[in-house]
Amino acid sequence: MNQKENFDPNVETHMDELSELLGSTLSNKKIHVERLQVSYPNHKEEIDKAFEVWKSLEALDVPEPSGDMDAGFYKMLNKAQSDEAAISHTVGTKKSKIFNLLTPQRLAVAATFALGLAIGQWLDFGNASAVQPEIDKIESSNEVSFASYEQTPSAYDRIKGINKIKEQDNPDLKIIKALNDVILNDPNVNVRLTAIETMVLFSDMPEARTYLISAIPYQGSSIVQLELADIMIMLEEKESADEWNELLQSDMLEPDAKIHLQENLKTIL
Amino acid sequence: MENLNDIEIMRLVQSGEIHRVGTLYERHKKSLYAYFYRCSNDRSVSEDMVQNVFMKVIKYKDQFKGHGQFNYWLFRIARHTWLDSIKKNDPMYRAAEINNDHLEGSYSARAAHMMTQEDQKEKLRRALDQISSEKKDAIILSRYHGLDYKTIAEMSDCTENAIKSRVMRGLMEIKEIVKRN
Repeated sequence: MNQKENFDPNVETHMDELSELLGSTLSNKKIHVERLQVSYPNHKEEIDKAFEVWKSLEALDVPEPSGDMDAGFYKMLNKAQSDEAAISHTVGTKKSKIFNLLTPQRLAVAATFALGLAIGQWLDFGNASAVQPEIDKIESSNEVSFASYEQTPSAYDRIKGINKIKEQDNPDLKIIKALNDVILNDPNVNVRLTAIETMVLFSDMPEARTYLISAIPYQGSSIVQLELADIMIMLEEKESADEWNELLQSDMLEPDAKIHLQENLKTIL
Repeated sequence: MENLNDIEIMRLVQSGEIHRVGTLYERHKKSLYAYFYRCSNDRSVSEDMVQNVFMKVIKYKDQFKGHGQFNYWLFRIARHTWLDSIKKNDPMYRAAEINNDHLEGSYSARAAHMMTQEDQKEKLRRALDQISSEKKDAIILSRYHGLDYKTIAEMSDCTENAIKSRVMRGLMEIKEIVKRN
């Protein structure tokens, strides 16, 4: 610390006290300043001048910021969100590549195999008590809203909840609906992507496909839009043409994403 | 969401909910903008600085430990952002100085006229610009943002007494500069 910055307590006590007073939250500072002037009559003028400057600073107004500030901030925030999502999307993309190799029929075979494996384990080890409570939890009506933002404020917890559904082979329609709610309403891009990935696992259910298609026009995030496009191409889902056209005509698309989507979706539009 | 305090929102940001920074921005943008405007006297510079602060909030989100008020952490970032721009002779700061030069010219042109309230404000603004950045910073944070000396001292890595001194000496210098002009 620079010692020269401090007051000399022997000669500047009045300044120290005035500074203390001005920095306080006292509302009636004027009265206290007058008392200080009484205490230090030799410095009355000096105290008065300093207080006058302090008061006059109040007059320095600040103009309102322009709309550019908000626009610039939200553009920056969007980019930061995309960057954050891209990290998890890298993982998601690897999964997508696996999905590309899996037709719905193959998925059904894999699910049957997984179910068989789970039953085998249950029969062999009598370990059903460890698995069943999780499924019960997911299937219970309360757990269907596992992923609602109001009940689970942490995105991490919501993703964890959704991932548990992936373990199911034949989910209840309530769960599919809950996933749809997440895809449509969750504010977090990562959570929405996880819900979409999970829904794809059940794309042999007509409801799951319908929900995926109907979600298309409501997605404002480029990453989610591109993910849905990849899925629709993979599923060869020509029924989604109207929804894509609606999205392509809306103002929710980034220019780059629009070009990319128009190019990629040629096979189903 | 409005019920969550700043620290709770920062916890969500730290868990990956980056979009929550939008709520913090809406709560603090005016105060930060006012701080930068008083430092720079330039609207465009101030707007960019506010954006820089929130970029740093996102970048350094994990460094926020939740001790003390979020507001103090935010102003600490704001203060560093501003002082860094001065040190680096940031082009934005140069732009602000050019604007100040323009103000000086326009002030001279009007000097012959009777002092109006607006002239007085301009004199004060210019005087505030002429004192050292440390004194100016202490005055702005204390006078306009209600931060106590202890908090400003913590932000500035100095003692409370040094802040008291900066405020008082800054006020006296402003008075002298206004008188000279």
